[in-house]
Amino acid sequence: MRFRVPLRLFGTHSLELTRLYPQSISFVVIAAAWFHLAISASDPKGAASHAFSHHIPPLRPPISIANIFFWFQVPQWTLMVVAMMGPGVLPAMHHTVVNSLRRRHGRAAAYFATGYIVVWIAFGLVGSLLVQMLPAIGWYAMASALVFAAVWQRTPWKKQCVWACHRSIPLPLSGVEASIADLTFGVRNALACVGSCWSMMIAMLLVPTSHFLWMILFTGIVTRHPAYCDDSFS
Amino acid sequence: MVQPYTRFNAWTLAAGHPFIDAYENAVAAMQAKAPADPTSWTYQAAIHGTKTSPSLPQWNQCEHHSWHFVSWHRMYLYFFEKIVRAQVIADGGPADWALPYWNYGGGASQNQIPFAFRSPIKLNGAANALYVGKRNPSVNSGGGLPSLITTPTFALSRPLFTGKTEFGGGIPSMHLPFVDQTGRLEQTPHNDVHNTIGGLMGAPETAAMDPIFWLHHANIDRIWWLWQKSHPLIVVLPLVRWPGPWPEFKRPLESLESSISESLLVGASKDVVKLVGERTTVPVLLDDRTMRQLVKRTEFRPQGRMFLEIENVTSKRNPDFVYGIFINLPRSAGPKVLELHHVGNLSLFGIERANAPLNDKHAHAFGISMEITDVLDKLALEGSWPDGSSIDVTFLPITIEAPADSREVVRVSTYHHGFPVQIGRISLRFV
Repeated sequence: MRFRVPLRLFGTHSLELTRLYPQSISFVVIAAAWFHLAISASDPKGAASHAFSHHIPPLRPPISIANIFFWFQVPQWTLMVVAMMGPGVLPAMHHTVVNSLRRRHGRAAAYFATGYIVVWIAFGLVGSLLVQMLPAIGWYAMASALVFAAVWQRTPWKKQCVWACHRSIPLPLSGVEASIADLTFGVRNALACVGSCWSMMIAMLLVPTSHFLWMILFTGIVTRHPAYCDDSFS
Repeated sequence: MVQPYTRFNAWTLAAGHPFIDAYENAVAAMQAKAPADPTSWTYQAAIHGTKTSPSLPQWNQCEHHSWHFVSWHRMYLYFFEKIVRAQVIADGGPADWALPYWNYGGGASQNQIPFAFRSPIKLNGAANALYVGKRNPSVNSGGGLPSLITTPTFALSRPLFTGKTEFGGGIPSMHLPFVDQTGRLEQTPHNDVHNTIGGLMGAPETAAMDPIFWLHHANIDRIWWLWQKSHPLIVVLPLVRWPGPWPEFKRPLESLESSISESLLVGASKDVVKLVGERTTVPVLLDDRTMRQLVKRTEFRPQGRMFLEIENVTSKRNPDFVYGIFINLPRSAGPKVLELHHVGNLSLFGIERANAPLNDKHAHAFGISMEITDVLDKLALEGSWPDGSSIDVTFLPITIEAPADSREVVRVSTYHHGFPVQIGRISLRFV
């Protein structure tokens, strides 16, 4: 004997909750990141008016680990990562959530996001340090980075990284193991993402002006790349 | 006016019927052609898959692990059949020739590979183009494919076409790259028969080189036709362009989709599972708090539908045999008990390409999903549903049946490659 009954928890349909939370929050966070960056870009006196171009000073002090933390703006970089990489990583986050127990949905998303963002922050620090070491920064440097990014797109290593973006790991049901697995999945997905998009993000670090417009362009490339997304079937 | 052709059962063709002989002659003629000739055997097989490098744009086009599977292979068979018919007519064979099908699930001895495919030489002493030495030796010696892998019941019983637990398979999507969208028909009997025959048939890059491939797929196409006849209300609309080199071909659309995409995780195995060709039982632990929320106090088990998912399956290579999947299987079980507890099969046909796809296709996870509501209902009636804290999932290697005229016990373990299979997680879902 089989029959279906609507399942109601906390006054609403539990499966509706599954669908809406926390993926919907992710959409809001990504939209907020874009909104903040757009507002900053339109404000000539705003802290983010030049986005990352202003973290490279005209007269550079001697390079050290200490001052790279000073010049590298972690919150700004994090916002940029959330805005640019967020749309592309949503499927992985969704996978983490739906493969977790309902009461762990929020935690699973948080652990995944933490692992993902920490890797990108580390990449930003290292990338920023490398950019500081360049003899000259400007449109030539950025153009060179873009050419390199275009070449990288066609390499088998890039393809390997894209494939790695589409691999998941077993996610335990509950306990500390589940949290570690969520975090690990975020880290692994971010490493694959870094491998796939690192050259483009280095170019972002070298953008002298119109940073926001370049962000839009690169985000479009990242999320609509034929080897990354499924536009051949859409 | 288009002339209709009839595909016949290879096992029930009347003695002396020319279709099999005509096929053998055509295969030999196509094998003799240069590989660059689009009507050659090598070229036609390479459209499905090939290890040849560099590959031509028309090669390595086969669609697996999604709802594209059945429609792509129907198209592939249609054009192949036309090419073979032209060759048959050129050889002086019947003008109404059509590809026979191998109905291995048809009962009696039909689970054995047809006689014409077993011997390396023909009655006249010439080489037999239908014979392939690189098959599971038990198959070539007349061992029967077990009914547990030839059954079309899992597929035919599905009410919907679209969805990874349904007949045709799920829609590949950028939103679900971590999900294997293999449908029930593709899994059983399609993948299972590929794996059990083994050799060339064991990998998409070589499968179409074996002449039995085409009879196998003619049968798969027939099962789809049976499902279509019994589900006339399922609307399959040719609305969207196929992204391949055949611009006229469209992919199907369907408004209904399996509800597993909205399911709730209720339980999972604790550790990674390793299968090494032996019976392995894995407890799938149900989450107590989730179950308490789901199960009404007076109910025996949650009301609704239950799905079993075998996730994150990895192996260096396809082990060329099939594991049956059983729920709460007793230690000693006869055929009827096996059938009662049987929920599906795990075979790894195409796992190499799932990890490293060709032609800019997407890498994706390897796994299978199945609805187990009916089996749980039966087990509940039988009293085999346990206390609700876990269910046992058993993986059992399925052996080939010995030929009827042989006392020899043909075991798949005498043939299979020893590639271990690793399963990341087995989960139970509720909707």
